[in-house]
Amino acid sequence: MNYAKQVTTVAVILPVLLLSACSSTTKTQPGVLSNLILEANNSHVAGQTDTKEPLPEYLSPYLVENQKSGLRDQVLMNMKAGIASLQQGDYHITRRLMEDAYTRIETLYANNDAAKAARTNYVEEANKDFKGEPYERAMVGYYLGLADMLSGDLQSAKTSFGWGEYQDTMSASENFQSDMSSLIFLRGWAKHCAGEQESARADFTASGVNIDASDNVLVLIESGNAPVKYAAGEHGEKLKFKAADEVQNETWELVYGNTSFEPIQIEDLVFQASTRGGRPIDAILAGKAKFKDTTKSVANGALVGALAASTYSQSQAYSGDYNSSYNASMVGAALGLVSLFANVMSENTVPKADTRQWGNLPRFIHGKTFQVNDWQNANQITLLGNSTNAELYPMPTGKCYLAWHRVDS
Amino acid sequence: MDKFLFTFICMVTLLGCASTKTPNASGIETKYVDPTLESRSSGVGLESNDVINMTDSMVRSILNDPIFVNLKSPPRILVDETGFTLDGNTRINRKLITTKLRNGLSRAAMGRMVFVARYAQQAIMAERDIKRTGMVDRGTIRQTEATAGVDFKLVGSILTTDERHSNGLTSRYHFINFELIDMELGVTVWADAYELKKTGADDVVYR
Repeated sequence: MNYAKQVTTVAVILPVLLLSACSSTTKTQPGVLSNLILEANNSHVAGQTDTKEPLPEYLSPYLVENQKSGLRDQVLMNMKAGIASLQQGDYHITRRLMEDAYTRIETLYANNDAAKAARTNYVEEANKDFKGEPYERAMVGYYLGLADMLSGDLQSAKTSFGWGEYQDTMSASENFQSDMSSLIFLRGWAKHCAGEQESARADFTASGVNIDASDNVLVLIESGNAPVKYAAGEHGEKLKFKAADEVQNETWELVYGNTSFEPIQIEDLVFQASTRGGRPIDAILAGKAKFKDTTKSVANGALVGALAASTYSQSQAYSGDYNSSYNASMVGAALGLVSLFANVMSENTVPKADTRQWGNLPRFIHGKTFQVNDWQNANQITLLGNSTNAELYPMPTGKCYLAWHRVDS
Repeated sequence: MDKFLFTFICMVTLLGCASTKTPNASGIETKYVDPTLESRSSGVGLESNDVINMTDSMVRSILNDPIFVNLKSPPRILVDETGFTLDGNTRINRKLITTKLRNGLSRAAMGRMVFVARYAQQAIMAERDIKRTGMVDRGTIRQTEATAGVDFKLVGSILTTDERHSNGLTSRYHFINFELIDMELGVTVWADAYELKKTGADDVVYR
């Protein structure tokens, strides 16, 4: 076979190989956030909450983002909009959004095109439908459980908190599996409010947070900013977590009538995020990074060879050996093609870790239970802190009351 | 010629990389599906066929139990979600199970047992009040001193245990317990359970 034919063969085979290796980025379907919000508003019992608009204005940013990002980020949008609606008191919307997120996280993605593509060299991990890291999935259980309690469904709340705690067992680091004691405590609280005292006591003991059997008010204070995901490594192939820049963990005081209580910290989400350990996909991303480096090295090596062959071809032409010059130029051209395609492969390899994140999560959760026999001061509890004071209004949840407050960072 | 071939190959390569696919891009028309069949959705929780199978099984079990065959008068049974607890990781509408069970029992019992409508107690009391104040007449059947007391009440729970294996498989075992309690003596007169276990694995990108 002469060199011209060899070059043509290489020129045909390489792109074919490249094509076979090159996976498609998958498109996604339109998001359903507006449908979920409308469903929630249509089905909630009138008078339970005070929503005046079918699609509340404060959820507009999430609706716009959901239209752009589609179903791929549906769980993420549900998570963010779910917290926003809870802050506005629209817990029926929170419940519907978190319920949808729960269902999507529960779905096992087997033979899913988007997930399959995310494993290939040329498609980034963020191509997959978002389900979140274990701490994010666990917090779906947390907010779903709170919304269940506020809706008076303590049985579902038990399941939600328990399911959330189970999500934490995905942690690869054995020492930190199933260590989200806040969710075990909250499951115990839901049982306590449902009158299942024996079972509740077991959960309180497991969580390390014990309460008096007569306590009937739970106050939860959330503060700080969500853990921050970032992509480390030369090609951003390593998913890491860090604390957001923020004020220090505050101490709080709750005042009810003439009595004051000090809530205790029951969760630190930065700890939960950073003790997750390795993920199976980390090995895939490391492989992508290695492939990117290897193909880059091949491209550079072939380019050096191509330049050398070209120089040799010119020198042979000057000395009148046109046959050798022609052969060298063909070798140079072949190496040039190899360099070109190896470079294309390297440049198109995307090892970057998926850093989409639930940005409006808190960092800390503080909790306190106590007993109130007769409500005074219009069911009002005062929260005192270094940076903020607030009035809290507990809502009935079975035999108990729940007050939830988010401190703005 | 070579230049043309090279350009053509590059264009095909680029097109191949840039091509995209949207699942169900043109949508799917609404159609009826058989709720007794396995769902196309994949998860380890309960689905419609599980609910139908479990309630059908419990209806048969209750009606075949000798204790309900030998009673002189039809027992009054309360089947609602108030005694049905969720004690696992599967989230399901409890009312779906108890309503389906009551409905199935009611149809199959043919008068051998009657079902107390405690879930409609508020409406019943309101109707009794307006009958007794004379706002409406007495109806055509009868008047009773009080509404029906319950002989047996259904209680139950959905218990689960989850397993996560190192090869990526996850499993969930469900034990759905049903019992009928004698509401005078306080003993269980009938018990049965429905069990199922599902297993599957998420794509590795989610583990």
